[in-house]
Amino acid sequence: MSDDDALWWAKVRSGGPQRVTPDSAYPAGMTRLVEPDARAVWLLPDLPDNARPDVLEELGLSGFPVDQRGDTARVLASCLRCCWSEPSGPIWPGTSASLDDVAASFRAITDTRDDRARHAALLGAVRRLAASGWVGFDEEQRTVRLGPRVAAWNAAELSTLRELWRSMP
Amino acid sequence: MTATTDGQHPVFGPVLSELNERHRDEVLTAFAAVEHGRDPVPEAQLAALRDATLRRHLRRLLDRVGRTLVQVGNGHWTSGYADDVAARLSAEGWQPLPAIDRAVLVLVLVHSVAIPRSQGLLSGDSWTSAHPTSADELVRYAQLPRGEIRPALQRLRAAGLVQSAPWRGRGPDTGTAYLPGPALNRLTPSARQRLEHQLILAAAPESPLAASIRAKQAASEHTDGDR
Amino acid sequence: MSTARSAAAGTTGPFDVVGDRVLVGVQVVDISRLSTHPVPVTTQGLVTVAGQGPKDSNGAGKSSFIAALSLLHADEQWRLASGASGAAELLFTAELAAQESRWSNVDRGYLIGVFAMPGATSAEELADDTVTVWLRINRKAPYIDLRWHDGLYVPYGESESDRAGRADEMWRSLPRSNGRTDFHANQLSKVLFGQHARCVSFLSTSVRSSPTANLLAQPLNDLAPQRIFDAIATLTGLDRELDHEQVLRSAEHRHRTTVLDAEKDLADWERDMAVVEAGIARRIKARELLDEARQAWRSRCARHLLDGVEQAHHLRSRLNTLSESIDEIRAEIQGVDDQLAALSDDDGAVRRFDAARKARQELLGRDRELDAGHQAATQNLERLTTRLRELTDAARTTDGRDVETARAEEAEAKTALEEAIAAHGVAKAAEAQARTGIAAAEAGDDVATEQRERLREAGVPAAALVDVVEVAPDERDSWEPRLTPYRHAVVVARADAERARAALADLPGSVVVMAEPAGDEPAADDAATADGATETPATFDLSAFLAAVAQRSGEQAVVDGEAGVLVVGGFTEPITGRASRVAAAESEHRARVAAVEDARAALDTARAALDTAESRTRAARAAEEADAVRSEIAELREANEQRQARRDELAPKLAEAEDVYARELGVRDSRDERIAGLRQTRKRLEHTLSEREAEMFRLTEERDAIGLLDREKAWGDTPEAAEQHLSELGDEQSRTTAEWDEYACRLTNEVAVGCFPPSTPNDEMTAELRELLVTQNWHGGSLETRVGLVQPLQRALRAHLDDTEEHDQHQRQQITEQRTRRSNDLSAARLGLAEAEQTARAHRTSLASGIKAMLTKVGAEFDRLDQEYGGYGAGLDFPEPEPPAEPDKPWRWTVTPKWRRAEGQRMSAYTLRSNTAQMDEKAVKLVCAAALARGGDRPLLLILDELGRNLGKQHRREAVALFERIGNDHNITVVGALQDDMERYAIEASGLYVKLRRRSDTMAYNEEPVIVGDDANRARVQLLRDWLTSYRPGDVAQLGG
Repeated sequence: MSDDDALWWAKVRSGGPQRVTPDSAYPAGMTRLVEPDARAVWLLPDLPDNARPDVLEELGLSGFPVDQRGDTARVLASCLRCCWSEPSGPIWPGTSASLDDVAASFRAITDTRDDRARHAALLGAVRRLAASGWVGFDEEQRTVRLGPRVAAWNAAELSTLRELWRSMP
Repeated sequence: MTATTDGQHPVFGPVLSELNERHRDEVLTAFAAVEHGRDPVPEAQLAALRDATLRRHLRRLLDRVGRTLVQVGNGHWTSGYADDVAARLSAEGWQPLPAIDRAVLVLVLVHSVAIPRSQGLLSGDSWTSAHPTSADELVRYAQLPRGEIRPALQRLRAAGLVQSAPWRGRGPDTGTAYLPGPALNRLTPSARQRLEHQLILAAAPESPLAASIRAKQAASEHTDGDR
Repeated sequence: MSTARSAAAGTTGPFDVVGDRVLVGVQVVDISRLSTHPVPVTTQGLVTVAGQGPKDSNGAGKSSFIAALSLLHADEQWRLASGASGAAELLFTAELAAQESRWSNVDRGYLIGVFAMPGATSAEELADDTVTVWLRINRKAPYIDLRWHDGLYVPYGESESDRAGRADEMWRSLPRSNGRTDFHANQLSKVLFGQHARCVSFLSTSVRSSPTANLLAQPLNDLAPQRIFDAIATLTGLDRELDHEQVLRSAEHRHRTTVLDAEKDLADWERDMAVVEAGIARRIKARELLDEARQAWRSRCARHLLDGVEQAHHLRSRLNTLSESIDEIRAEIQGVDDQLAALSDDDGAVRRFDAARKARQELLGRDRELDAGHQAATQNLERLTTRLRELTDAARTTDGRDVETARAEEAEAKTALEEAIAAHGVAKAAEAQARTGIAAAEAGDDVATEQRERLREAGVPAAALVDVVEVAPDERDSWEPRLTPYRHAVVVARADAERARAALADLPGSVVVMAEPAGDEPAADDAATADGATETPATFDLSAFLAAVAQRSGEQAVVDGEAGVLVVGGFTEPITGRASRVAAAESEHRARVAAVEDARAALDTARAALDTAESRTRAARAAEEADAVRSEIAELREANEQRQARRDELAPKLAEAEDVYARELGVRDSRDERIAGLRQTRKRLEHTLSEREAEMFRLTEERDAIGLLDREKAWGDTPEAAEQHLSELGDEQSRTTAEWDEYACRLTNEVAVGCFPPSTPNDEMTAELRELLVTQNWHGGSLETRVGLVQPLQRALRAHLDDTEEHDQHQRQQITEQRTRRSNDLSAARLGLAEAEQTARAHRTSLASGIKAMLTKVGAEFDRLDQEYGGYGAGLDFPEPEPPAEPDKPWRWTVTPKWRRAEGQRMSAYTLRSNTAQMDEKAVKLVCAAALARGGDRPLLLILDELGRNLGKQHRREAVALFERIGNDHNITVVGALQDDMERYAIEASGLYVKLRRRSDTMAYNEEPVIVGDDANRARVQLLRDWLTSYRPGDVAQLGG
């Protein structure tokens, strides 16, 4: 544990999971998620179970609001359904999926909105999720993959997610 | 989650190992509350905020991840970047906000805090305020295209730096208005002061207030020249 | 303790709902694979939980069951403060049950505990004072919701699905526990048990989210003494006493923070105020100084005015004097001008002088003219004399001839010479021709040269006829004439005749003789017939030609009788044959050379004759010229004598004219001198005049510059008043204006510096002051600049000081008030801190003795238990810790267990290595000792997954017996999960035996458990079971009503 560790923690706190070149940083208490091509490593902080944001629910405190909460959650679910190709295995890094696939999955679990509104909601949510590191979104290729934050889910949460995965079309 | 072989978290472990099960849980809970909570947490709610001994541990825990405990008002707590870490980050040129977001934030702060404070409508050094700045005002003063301000406001809102508030001013302005967000509670006293000084120096460089700030800065540079 | 309770409770609300009640039954819904059957639980003594899974004792959920019991008792291991997220892991999870294809995960499950007073022995008594606690465990946060119900309230029904199906609805009909929401995990301990520890457990890793340090959970020697104290404190209730101590220390810390903040605040404030006060003090000083400065300036103005008056007076008198002197000088200049005019106007004198000068000039001119003529003639004479001598010498070689004779002789000699030259040229040309003839004869090229050349080019063999034919000398007279017509012919072979003609076509007149081919013997005969003309050997045979020629010739010179041609012979040399022709040419040449010699001799003679004639001509001419020169010399001598006579005649007139001129010149020079003198005087006078005038101008300027009016205005009164003012001053009367200037400027500057110290940023000054101090450069300016600024600056400073005076006073007053207030605040804070410190210290002192008493008691129990159950005696070391250095640092107690390893040995600390079984045995004893020492007021549940883990066989039996004994003697229930090999020890010692069952892996949920009480408990177990299953909804209505 050094001052640099504290600095890395502050950076992640400020800017979300940090993407660094392999061998460049080993801050204490952070998981190093290697990109599939091994060209970069994501630094993701490990928090003890009882220091994670869900504690707020227990205490009745509010966290940071998420815009379009429902749609965002549904889009994240759709991304999981498309990108977590093998749910019996680890969730990170998953595979990348086309935005169209995600859109199809999203359509299946949303109400009967018109296509334009749904697409706008999808794009908005994907961008929001991409900004916060839950998914990776390549706007040019129009592909989606899972972001480094998904690796923070623990076993129990993954079990629930697997069930969700199974339940989704 | 992941733990080293001896079961200790490499960052939190050394602090936590001194505590018994209950205190450890309380300290971590308070850590989660101040770190993840949107608003400052009343100390009555959490033993680790209420109790000085546990608070000391909490402070040490936060310090390990570059944070510090910030008291807001009487009996509320939140966390913010430790001053030394903030200084190092800014020395490295760390800047997570795009320039336009900063510009919009400064406008909100000037309109909602700095101006009311200079008029004696606000007291104290807090950066929270009940004087909203309307979106139309922002567009007018920022001289930036509305199409760029709106996403900037969205990002600032997501970061808790601004929050929307109903516009209740006079005049033709309608629609949303903005207040400084709860994240500003996370400023440490010295960060609060620095922000205030910078706003005054930027907004009214010829005011007597600015003069006294310059005098103080000069004096402090004189006394602690190493900073 | 009451303080701790209320502080911990925060707001009032449900607290210690369960109180002294004990768990008599438990029922779960969707917890792991456990069935929903109600399980009666006995109090005190040992409860063993066994499992019977499809293969062995595992898989029947016994760990989950005892984990549920520990959660129901708010065991801290669940991390209740942060929400007990681990509880969610107790929920039925399809994946874990390998049932994901048939079942799905549950989102929530229920854990229902029935708590009744331990003394209740009948259904009625039980029902009287029962609380049914419902924990709903959720998959997502909040993980635990708490509700409860007075009286029995459990899911009922004959089948699993009946019971499970009712749970949700029954939960919903329970009132929310915390107003609009339910209590969550963090309130569990407080609401249910008033924060009393009711449970110490060791849970297996399958339900434990992380290893926890607790006496039963890990080897004793892995725990630090501090943690051992914590464990004992929790068991004995000391923790709440310590919490209270901690609360007191928090208060102390708060006071201390307040004091520190107040001190820092005061120090900061004082530092800020020091600047402000210094400013105020400077301005007060400045106000005093400003008055003084204004007085000084006033005196200065008086002195300045009087100085001006005096100066003006002085200047006026000087100006008068000057004016007079200027007038005098002007008069003098006029006098000089008159004299000059008189001198300049004397015309007679001028005329006289001019006449004398003219007369002298004229005479001098004539004399010089004569002299010049004489000189020139003399020079001419010398030149002529020299010439005469030369001519006389040249005339000596005339040999008596006059010019005419000499010329005639010369012309004759010339003609003779020309003739000789011509003769010589002719002879030489003849000689050259003869020499050429020799060369041509030698080369054979003297005959038909061109024709032979052409034929050679055309490849035709040819030769000159004369070369081919040779004539014997005695035949020459006859043959040479015959051959003469053919002297220029060429000979070719007859066969070549045509080609030869073609080659020579453009050479008209060419003669070709055709020859026969050579070499025939008859040719010799022919040659003989040709009478001596023979051919040159070979080549051409001309015998036919020669015969023809001979035949045609007649007598004598007739060469062609028929044609009648006659050729004159008699050639000196033979014309035929090359040798004879060369000899002829050489003879010719010799004759020509002799002729050339003769011509040259004649030429030389002619030339000598011409030279002699020419020199005679020149001498004759020189004699003629010498006569002319002689007569010219005589003329010149004559003229010179006449000139000398005229000069002598002129001399006396010239002398007289010189005298007159000298006299007139003297007169003129003396007058010029006088005029120059007068002019000098005038110039001097004019210079003095301009000087005086400049002086006057300067003085006038000076007088005007004094600006008396301005000075009077600055003073503001009459000069008399100024005099009066100054006379009233003491020693300062004697000050000069400069001294006053200096003094006033210094004072004013002190005021300015007092108001604005040099480092003051410009923008803090008023515009007026900034203009004066900065723009006009008061600080850096010279004394002169400053004097000009004093008055406006004093005015501006006065305005500034007046403006600030009231504010300064107000601020001073405020500072004084604030200082008093802040000091009072600080004193109050210090007093508060002192009190808080004292309270904390007092409490700590009493608490320390309480803790020591309690630990002594635990130690005694530990020793007793140890000896009673196979040990050699044990004890505890617990040194009293120092009070914390800072109030927010923990007061850290430690406990070091120790025991004898063998009979009679000294006790050694627990950290000394020993076998694991012994460690665990001592740990169990220590837990029990702590539980026993705590006093009997509250029930306690000890939960041990894997009962007897690590204990050797002997120890297992002892441990089980120990638990049973402790349980029976005290208000402690020990719940243990059994490993297979423990069953036979346990069953006989257990007060209650629960066996969880599941026969097949295809079953998602367990079957009904087997529940057996021992002899002492059998009836009670039956009672409880009946009572628990007796619940029906009528009770709900009853309760609802």
